Amino acid sequence: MIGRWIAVVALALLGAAGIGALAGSFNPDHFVLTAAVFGACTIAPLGALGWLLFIAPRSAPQDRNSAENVEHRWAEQAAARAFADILALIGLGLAVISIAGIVLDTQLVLMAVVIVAMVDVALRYVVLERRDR
Amino acid sequence: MKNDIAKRRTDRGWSQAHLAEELGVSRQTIISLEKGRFDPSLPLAFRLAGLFGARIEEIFQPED
Repeated sequence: MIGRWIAVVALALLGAAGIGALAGSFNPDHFVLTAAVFGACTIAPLGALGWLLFIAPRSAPQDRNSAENVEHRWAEQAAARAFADILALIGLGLAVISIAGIVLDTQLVLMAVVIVAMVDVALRYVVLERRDR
Repeated sequence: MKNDIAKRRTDRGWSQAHLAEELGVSRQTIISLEKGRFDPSLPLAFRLAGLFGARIEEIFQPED
């Protein structure tokens, strides 16, 4: 198990360092600052990913029947409906900004899409849960 | 899909939590099944039938 924890730490440190260096290479005037910010922002998610990949399969009990639970059905339905929502939202948004000739910041748009998708799935899950309770 | 899971469960003096544990699913799944709001997968229906000693079609009936 210690080996697996070492793998988690290595993935987090090396991954964050790699992403930081990559981000810094695109901004050579402020390489250190950019690399540090991106490294700091990605180390925790990479640590969580490492835990998911290396620790969880051995420590968390595996539920062989998880797909037979109603919660699984709710999650699937919420994700499917949220996908349709996002598709419609992006399509409509694309039409509006194309017609109006609006230029938007790509980072802002992608961040908004991610946040809307996550909130949409969560809300739809809660609605399904309350409806079936 | 209508079913008589609640009756069969209470006849045996089982709680929803006990039935959930026997079937290896969540208690919420049993609640939704008993209310007829969730149709089980075929493997789960077979496990239910085996547990109650009945055929699937005796437990589940299609809605009119």
